Amino acid sequence: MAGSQWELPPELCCRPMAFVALTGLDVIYNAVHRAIWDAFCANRRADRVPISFKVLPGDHEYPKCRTKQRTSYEWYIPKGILKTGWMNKHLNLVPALVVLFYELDWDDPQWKEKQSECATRVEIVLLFVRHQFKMAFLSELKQDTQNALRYYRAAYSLVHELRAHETNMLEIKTMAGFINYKICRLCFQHNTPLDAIAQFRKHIDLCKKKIGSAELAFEHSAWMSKFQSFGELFDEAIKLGLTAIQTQNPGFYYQQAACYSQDRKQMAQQLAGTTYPSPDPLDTQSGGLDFYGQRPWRQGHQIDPTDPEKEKMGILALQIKERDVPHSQELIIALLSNAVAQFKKYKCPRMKSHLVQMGEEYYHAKDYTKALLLDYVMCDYRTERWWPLLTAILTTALRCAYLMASVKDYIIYCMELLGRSTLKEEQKSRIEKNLFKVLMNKVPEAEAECDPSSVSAARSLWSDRMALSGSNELTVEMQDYIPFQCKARFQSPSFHVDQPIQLQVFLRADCPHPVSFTKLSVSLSNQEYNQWCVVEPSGPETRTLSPWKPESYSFSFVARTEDVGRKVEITGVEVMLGSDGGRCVFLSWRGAGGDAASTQEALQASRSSRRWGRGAEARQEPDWDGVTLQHSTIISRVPKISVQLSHQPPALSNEMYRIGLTVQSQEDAVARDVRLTAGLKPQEAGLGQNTHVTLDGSAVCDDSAPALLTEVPLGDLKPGEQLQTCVFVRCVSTGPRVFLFHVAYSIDTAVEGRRIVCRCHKQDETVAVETVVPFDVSVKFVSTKVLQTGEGASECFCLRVPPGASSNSTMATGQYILSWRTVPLPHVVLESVPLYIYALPSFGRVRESLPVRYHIENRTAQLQEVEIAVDPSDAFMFSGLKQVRLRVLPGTEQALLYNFYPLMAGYQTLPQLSLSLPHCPTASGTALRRFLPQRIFVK
Amino acid sequence: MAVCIAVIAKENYPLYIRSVPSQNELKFHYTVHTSLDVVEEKVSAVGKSIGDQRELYLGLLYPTEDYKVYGYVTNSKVKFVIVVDSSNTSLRDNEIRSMFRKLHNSFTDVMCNPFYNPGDPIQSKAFNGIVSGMMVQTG
Repeated sequence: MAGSQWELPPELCCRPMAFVALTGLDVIYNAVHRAIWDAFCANRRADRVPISFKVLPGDHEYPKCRTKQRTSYEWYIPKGILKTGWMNKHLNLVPALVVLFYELDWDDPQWKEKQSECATRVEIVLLFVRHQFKMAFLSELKQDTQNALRYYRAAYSLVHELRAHETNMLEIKTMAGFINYKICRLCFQHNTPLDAIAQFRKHIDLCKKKIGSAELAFEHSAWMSKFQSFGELFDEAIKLGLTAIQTQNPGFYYQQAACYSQDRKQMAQQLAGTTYPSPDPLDTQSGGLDFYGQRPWRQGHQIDPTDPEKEKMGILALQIKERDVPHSQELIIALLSNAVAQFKKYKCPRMKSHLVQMGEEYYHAKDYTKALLLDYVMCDYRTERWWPLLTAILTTALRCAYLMASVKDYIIYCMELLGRSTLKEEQKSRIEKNLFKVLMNKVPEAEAECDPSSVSAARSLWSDRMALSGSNELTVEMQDYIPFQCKARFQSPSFHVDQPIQLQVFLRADCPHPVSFTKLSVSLSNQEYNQWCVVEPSGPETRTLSPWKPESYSFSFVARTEDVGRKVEITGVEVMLGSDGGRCVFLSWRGAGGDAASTQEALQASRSSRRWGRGAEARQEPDWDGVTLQHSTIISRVPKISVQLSHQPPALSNEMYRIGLTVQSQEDAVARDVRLTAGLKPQEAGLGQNTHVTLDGSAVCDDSAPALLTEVPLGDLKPGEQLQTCVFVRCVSTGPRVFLFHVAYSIDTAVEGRRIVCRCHKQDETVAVETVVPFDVSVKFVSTKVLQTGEGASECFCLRVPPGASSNSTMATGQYILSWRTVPLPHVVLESVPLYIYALPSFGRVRESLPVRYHIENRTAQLQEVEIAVDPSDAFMFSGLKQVRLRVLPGTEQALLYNFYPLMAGYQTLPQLSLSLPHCPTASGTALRRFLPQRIFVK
Repeated sequence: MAVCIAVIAKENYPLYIRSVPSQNELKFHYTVHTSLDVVEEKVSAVGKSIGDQRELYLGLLYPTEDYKVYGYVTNSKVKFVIVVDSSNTSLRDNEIRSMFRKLHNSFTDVMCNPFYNPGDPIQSKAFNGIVSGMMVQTG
C-alpha cells in the first residue's frame, strides 16, 4: 500500500472515454451478434470518437441513482473531496448510453408490442454533478477538452482555498496533484507545453511549503517526487511530436524526482520505529479508502483527529512501512536512468555525468559492482579537471572497492586519490598507509562512513583474499593515474653504433609519504635491449622516492650492428611496487611516460617557471616538463677517411672523361673491404640512358656500361695510407650532370669492452660536370660549277643520283664520320727584335696637317744604332727628316716627328719608314716593318 | 544575492568557486559543472549566426527546483556562473547583469596582475572581496 499510495490512480492517468454499454447481445453463441459486436469494436482507429464499449448481460444491475436528491449544499459538510471509486464508476460502471439489442423481424406480428417493450427498458442514466472536478471529468468524457480544462483550473484554485490543516494536508495535496496532473495533461494535449510547465511550476511552488506533520515529512518528499509523472507526461507529449530543448526536457523532472526520492530515503533512514502496531491501523474494513488521500484510521474525520492514541499508532505504522521501502533500488535508480536517457538525447553530457548519483545509489543499494560504473564518469571529470568532483566520486568508489575487497580497484583508487585529489593531507596519508598494507598482503583499515555490518563482511572478504596465494601480481596502466610520474628519454636523438646508447628514466612520487619500489624496467622496441634496462636498487636511498623529488636512473647499452639505420623506441616503463613475498603492483606507462591529463598543467607549470625562474634550486634535474625524447636512431660509425676527386671540366660529348679519386685513411686500424660506388646520381632523371661509367679507360665504352657502378671492391687500406683510382665517364648527350662517389669500408672496434665490426660510410662526394659539343659541322650542297678556276675546296664529295630514283622525293645522302684526336699545332720560329716602334694617330683629314710621331724604343741592354729613311707616297705631302741615323740608349726611346699632309680621302698608304740596324745584321728590316702602320684612314 | 559564484577557464576547469558555507559545497560544484552544457550550447549557437557580435551575458541558463543559474562568457571564453536561490524573486535581470559586469571588471584586474599566471586558480583578495559582496551573507 505504501507504494501504491504515491502512485496516481490508473483511472486518472488514462484518457477518459465515454462508456457505452451494449446489452441483449449473445456474442459467444450467436454468430450474428458476434458480427455486430465486432463491427463496433474491431479496428477502431484513433481518429474515431473515443468510446469504450462493453457488452453487459441484459439483466445487469446499473448503479442506482441516489434516491434522495439533495436540494441544497448549504448545510452539507462533505466527508472528503473525492471518493476513490468515483472515477472508476464513471469510466467503467455507469454507462453514458445503453444500447439494447432486441431480435425483431420486420414482419413480426407483435412489432408494435415489442417496440413499446424496448422503450421501457432503455434507461438513460442521468449524470449528477456536484463538483467542478466532476464537471471537468465529465466534460472530458464528452471529449470537450477545452471546457474540461476550464473546470479543472477552477477546481485547482478551489482546492487551494480549502482550509488546510495538518491532518487534511495529505488529502489536499493528493487532490491538487490529481487536478494538476489533469491540467498538465490537457495542456500538452492542446499543444501548449508552456502552459503545462507554468502550471506545474505554480503547483510545485504552492505545495512545496505544505509539508504537513514532521513525523510524516517523508510523505511530502514522496509526494514531491511526483515530478516524475510530469516528466512522463512531457516525454509522452514529445513522442507525439512536441519538441523539447536542452534546458527544458523531461530529464530535469526525472532528476528532480530522484532528488526528492533521495530526500525521502534519507528521512526514512532516520525513522526509528520498532514494532509494527497491532491491530493494523492501516487496515480498513473495505480493504480500500473511501476518499483519496485520507487516513485509513479516521476516514471522513479529517479536520480534528478523534483519538490521539490511534493517530500515533497510525503514524508509527506508516513510518515502519516507509522504512522497508527499497528506495535506492526501485525508485531512485529507475528515475535516474530515465533522466540519463533524456539528457543523452538533449546534448547535456555534463548533466549526464552528474548522474553519478546513480552510482552512489547503487552503492547505497549495496550493489557495489554496479557502483563501480562510476569509472565511466570519472574519466570525464578527469579530463575536465574538476578535482573536487572527481575526489567525491573516487571516495565513493574507494568505499565500494573496499567493501567488495576488489584489490585491483582498491589499489587504483587509492593511488588516484593520493595524487591530484583535493583530500586533506591526513586523509591522504591514511589512504597511503592502507595502500601499503594491501601491498604487504595485509587487510586495510575500513573506509570511513561505511555501513558497520558491511564492514565486518568486507573484513572477512579481505582476509580471504589475502590468504589466497597465487595471482598476487597486478598491472596498473598508469597513463591516467597521477601520484607517480615517470618520464623516460634517450640522451640524444641519435647514437653512432660505436657509442653506447644512453637512456634516462625519471621517477617522481607525488604522494605525501616516501615510496619505495623494488624494480624499474624499460621496454624498448627491440626487445633484445630490454635486459640492459632493468634496475633493482638494493640500497634504501636509491629505491625510495621522496615526495615531489624526481629521481633519475640511467641505463646504457651497446647497439647491435644490424640495427644501424633503425629506430629504437621506448615502448613502456614499468615500476614494481611491493615485493615478491607480498603483493606486487606493476605500474606501467605506455611509451615514455607522462600522462594525458597533466599535459595542460605541465604547460602551465612551464609557463610559470619560465616567467619567474623559480626553481633554480629545484631544477638541478633537467626540466621535468622538457623531458621528451621517446626514440633515437642508431646510425653508423663516423668514417675517418678522406676522399678527394680530381678532374678537368668540361667534358666533351662522347669523350672518355676521367675523374681521379684519392682515398686517404686516418683510421687507427686497417680499413677492410673498401668499396666504391661511383656514377651518375640516381636522381638525375632521364640521363641514365646516355651516361656510361667504367673503370677501364683504355677503350671507348659502349652503351651496355651502366650509369652507376656499385660496390666496386678496392681492397684494404692500411692506417695512414692512401689509395688512388680513376673512373671514366662517357656522356652521350650534352648538359650538366651530377656524379656521386661513395666509399664504404669495415673496421673492427671495441665499445665498452665489446668488439664489434662497424661498417662505415663516407658521406657522398658529388661533382657537377658540364658536357659540351667539341665542333659544329655544317653541310652545304653546291654545284661543281661554283668553283672558279684556281679555287680549291676541301671535304667536298660529289653525289650522283642513282638510276631509277624517283623524282620529287628526298633522299638520304649518307653519314659524315668525324674521327678526331688531340693534334699538336705547327712549330713557330723565334726571332729577336731589338727595337719596338709605335706611332700615334689613328686617322687624318684631307688637306689638314697630320702630325705623326714615331717612337723608337730600345728594349735591349745594348746601345742600338738605327738608320731611318722615308719613302715618298702619292697620297701625302710631308715634312720631317728624310734620312737620318741615330742612336738609342738601352731602355730609352727616341721620337721622330713628321708632319704628313693627306691629299686624298680613304685608306691611304703612309710614306714608308725603312729601318735598318747596321750593327745588328740578324734583325731584318721586314721584322721591324711589322711594327709600323702601313695605312691610315683619311676623312 | 548569489549563493554560489564560479569562474570557469576556457578549457572548462574551475578557476574559482565559492558558495555559501551553510550548504553542500559539492552540490554547487555539480550545479556549476552541469550548467556548462547550456553555456557551450548557447555559445556555439551564437557563433554560427552572426559572427562575433555576441552578447556576453547569456541570461538564465536553467532553472532547477531550488536555484536559478545565470551565465556570462567573456570574449576569451572564460565563463562566469552565478547561482541564485530560486526563492529570491527580488533580483531582477538588470541586477544580475551588473553583478556579472562587476565580476568581469574584477577578473580583468586579476588578469592584469603581472604576478598572476593565466590559468592558475584565482587567489586574489580583491576578487574575493568583490565576490563576498555579492554573496548571501549568512550568520
